[in-house]
Amino acid sequence: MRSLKKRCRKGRTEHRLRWLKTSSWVALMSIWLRNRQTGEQIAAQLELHVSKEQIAETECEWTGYRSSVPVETLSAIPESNDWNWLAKYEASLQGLTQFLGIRLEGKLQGMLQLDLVPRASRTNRYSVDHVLYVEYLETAPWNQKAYMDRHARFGGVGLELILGAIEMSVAHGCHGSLGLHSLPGALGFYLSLRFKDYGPDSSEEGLHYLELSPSDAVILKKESAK
Amino acid sequence: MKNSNIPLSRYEQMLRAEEECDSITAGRRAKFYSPAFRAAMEALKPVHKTEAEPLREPLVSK
Repeated sequence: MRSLKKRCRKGRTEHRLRWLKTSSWVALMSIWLRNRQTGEQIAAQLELHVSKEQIAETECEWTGYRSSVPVETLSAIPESNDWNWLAKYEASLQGLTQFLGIRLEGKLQGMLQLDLVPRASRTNRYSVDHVLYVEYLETAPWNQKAYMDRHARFGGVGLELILGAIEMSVAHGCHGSLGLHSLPGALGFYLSLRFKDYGPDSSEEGLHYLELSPSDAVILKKESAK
Repeated sequence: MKNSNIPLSRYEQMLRAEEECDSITAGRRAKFYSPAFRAAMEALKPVHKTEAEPLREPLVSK
């Protein structure tokens, strides 16, 4: 947590932490997204602790939006079309999982579920290196090319969620290292973020397993500085 | 007028990659929960009784 608080105090953009009256705390970090239609930068917030109520509300919004898009206009049914984030929350182990979200215009533009129990890194099997595992990540349907083609609204949502997960990895002693299984449509995105592809994982439906090393996490943070 | 020969910054490259991907997703179970998993989740949900039940048989004085 020390590193996270330090970044929040000394970050380039305005970062702030807010403590609730309860012992749990909510961290809000100011970030920037890109309006894909106009190209302008828009201030948004990265929330490091998304609540069950917020997830339930977002699930309703995203499901409603998905169902409003005529299936015949889609070139293919998006890979995450049947996901249910509230079910993911209810199936998660409380205290060992964290949900991150990016809020803009009062709505969550993307969510990420992070497993807080460090796992052994595949980058160096014989060391004590560990990674934090991204259980799930999804951007809102209106930000996905699969639903919107060239009319997707906000860019940078996936990148900012990964940057938030890197901060959590640092806070949990994993030095910014992350692991995840990419769905096929997003593989190019993670490779552009310097994730290393370990190929199809037979134990996870053949999804590619990717890892971001601590050194590449540092480079990614520098490269994403605007 | 923009010069298309100017190389994109790494930040712009990452945004472009995000834009060109069909969807930005990651997950262990690729598409959706299996029916068996959903049934298991339903079974775990707490059951809320609509009517209060007496804790014991009412005492009957003889």
